[in-house]
Amino acid sequence: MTKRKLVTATLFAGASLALTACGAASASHIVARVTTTTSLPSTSTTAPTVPGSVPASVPPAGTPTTTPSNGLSSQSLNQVAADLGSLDDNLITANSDLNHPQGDS
Amino acid sequence: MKHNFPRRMAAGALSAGAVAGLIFMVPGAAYAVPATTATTAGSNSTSPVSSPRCTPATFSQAQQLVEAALSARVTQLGALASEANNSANHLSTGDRQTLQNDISNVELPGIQALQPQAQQATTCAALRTVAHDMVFTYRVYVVMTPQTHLTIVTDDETYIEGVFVNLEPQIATAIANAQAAGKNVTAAQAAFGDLKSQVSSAQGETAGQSAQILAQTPSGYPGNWQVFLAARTNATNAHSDLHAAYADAQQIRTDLQ
Repeated sequence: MTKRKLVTATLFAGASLALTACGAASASHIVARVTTTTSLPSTSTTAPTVPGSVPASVPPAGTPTTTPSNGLSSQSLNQVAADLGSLDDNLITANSDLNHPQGDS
Repeated sequence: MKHNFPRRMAAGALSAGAVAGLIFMVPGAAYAVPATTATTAGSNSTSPVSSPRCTPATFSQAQQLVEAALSARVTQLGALASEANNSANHLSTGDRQTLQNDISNVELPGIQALQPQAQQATTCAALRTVAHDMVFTYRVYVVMTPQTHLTIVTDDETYIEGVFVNLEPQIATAIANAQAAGKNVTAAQAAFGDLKSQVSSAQGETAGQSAQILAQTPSGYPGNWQVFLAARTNATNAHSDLHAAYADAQQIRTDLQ
């Protein structure tokens, strides 16, 4: 009996370890995917929600841009983000005009 | 956001009890809410749409309503003029001038000229004439407002397309340099291909749109409502394309670091 219990316990321990490993792998995979998918929109919508803050993140005049080596400076992308933010706001306004017009006047 | 106040003002005026029986003479459907009201209140009328709700007994209230409606339009046109003048947006020079002229030299003085006429009106017939002009001649809310905002959106998009087009040679060079340095640029190249495709798609959506939007006039309503809706669809698609292009640019930058 003692031997059987020991064997059973060992088997359960092994099985639970395997399940934990699977679960961990699965969970980490999900987290990785969610992070990947949400990271891009969250970056691009940061500027729209706080349009005024975007220029502040742009290096002040005279400060060298960070990555001229790859041809796509953070300053360039920050400016595009700011422009997209303004575009988001203006499109919301235009949608509001068309979705909720004041009568037909 | 800037339109909330006049809209609330209009809504408040329209929901006032007195209004129910008064609206009236303004081309019935000028106000969304009163259209229903007019039908209900006009049950004893033979012609619900043009049935006058302005009577000698209610003239004063009707006059106040017209004056309030004119005032709300002046406010709205002032807001539109500010937006057309705002150099923070990327309206093209020609489109900005067109909007400024239409709003400040045609619409605003036209509505303002009606204000003393409403104040000086002494009969329902005179008041009706003013209200009719206010709605049918100027179409502040259903033509001038979407026209201004859609033009701003479309010109903003055109500007951003230009920014991406200017970045493309720099990105191509950066990828080539990275590749020459032995870096794996497969993902960056794929993202760059998508970026160019997205920008090209956005350009297709916005091409000629501003001119078409600006060609709409108050007298073209309600037929030109479909033009505005189509322009909105194009602008929305271009907006998605440009956001996708931005995501590609971020990806490229990350890949090359």
